[in-house]
Amino acid sequence: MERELISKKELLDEKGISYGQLYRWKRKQLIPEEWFIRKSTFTGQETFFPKDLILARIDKIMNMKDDLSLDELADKLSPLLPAYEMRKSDLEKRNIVSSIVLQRFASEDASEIVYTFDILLYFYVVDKLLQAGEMSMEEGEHLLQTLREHFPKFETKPCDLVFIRKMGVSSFALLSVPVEMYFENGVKVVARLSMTECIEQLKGKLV
Amino acid sequence: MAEENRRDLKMIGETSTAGGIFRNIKVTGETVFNGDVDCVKLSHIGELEIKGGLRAEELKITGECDVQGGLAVGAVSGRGELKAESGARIEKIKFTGNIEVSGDCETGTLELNGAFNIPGLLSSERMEVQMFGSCKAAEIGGSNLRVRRSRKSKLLHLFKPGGPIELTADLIEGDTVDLEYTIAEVVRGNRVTIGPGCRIGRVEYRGDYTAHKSASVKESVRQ
Repeated sequence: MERELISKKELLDEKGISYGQLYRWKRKQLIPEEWFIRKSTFTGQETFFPKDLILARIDKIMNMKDDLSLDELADKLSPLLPAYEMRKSDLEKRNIVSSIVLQRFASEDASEIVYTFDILLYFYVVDKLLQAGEMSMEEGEHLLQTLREHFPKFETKPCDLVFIRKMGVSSFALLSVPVEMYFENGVKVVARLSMTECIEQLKGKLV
Repeated sequence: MAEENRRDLKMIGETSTAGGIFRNIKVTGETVFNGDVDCVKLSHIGELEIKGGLRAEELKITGECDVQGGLAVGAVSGRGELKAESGARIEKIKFTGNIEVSGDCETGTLELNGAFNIPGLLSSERMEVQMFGSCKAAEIGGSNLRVRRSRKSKLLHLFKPGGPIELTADLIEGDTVDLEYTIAEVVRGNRVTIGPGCRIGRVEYRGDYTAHKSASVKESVRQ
């Protein structure tokens, strides 16, 4: 999957930001290091960004920078798992994860049980794929297991979740990004999710 | 909670110690820390080597300071030589001497009298450099960038000849860029001033652009 790139110059023009702002945000770690992609062009080295990611991020920064200091913003955007916790009943009430998922995968947990952020994240990812109609309930169970088993190993490194299917047999993989992947014929990539983005989305919902 | 456990550390002479979490560290002489150091304020005189990362709110250097891990400091001041071997992130630097960083050096304000050698990116919101020696960086970026050759450097050069006193960089990008004695392939900015002794391949600017008559600029493009 080739990502569309945007050059630094185009980005500055399109968003009306200055070099200073861009470098400041980079220093404050609002823009992750791995989004700065260097490529040589006919005018020498140029920096490119993944277009969809950087545009969304800059909108987010511009929207929030009036209310929050840059350091607070960095906390919100950082890929570190925050210390948020939530009771199962609240989770259901606030509709962060649909009740179907909770019934199916967390029916034995009492409603006053407190989930840590990573567990919330797993439910959120499963819910997201189920809602998109890309995954069945049984597959959801496998996914949950995969995440529980392997996601903590990435610690703070960014990773992607890949969900593939061939001849009706599905499997999941977690990989650290950036990475390029090629499959044999007949393999269908059902979904590829950036866990970092999921963390951000979930954080946005919880706060 | 960790804040309450922070203690002061004072050492004099040729010493070595493990790293750790401290409040204020004052060391004089030749000192080696064998691990990561996290402190509020570190001031040292002499030679200091940290075989790990350094995180501090304030760092005051008189002499040589060599940090092998990552360097994250609120404010750096002093004179001498600062070496960071795996990148540096510093909010404010006011320094006289030589700065050497392997990796990127990201700063809020940088006031430097001396020289630097940064093979990666040097970024700064406000950079003011008085060059006393040859300065090198692959890329320089920020908002206000100002580079001057120190008047005294000519005199100094007579006594202690070294490399040419100029700044070499591949790319310089900033909102306001004001350069002197700089060799760069590309300079980009909103307001660009190219001073004496510059050799620039290409200038891209949006607002104002002036070049000194002794500067050589191959092409300049307004965007």
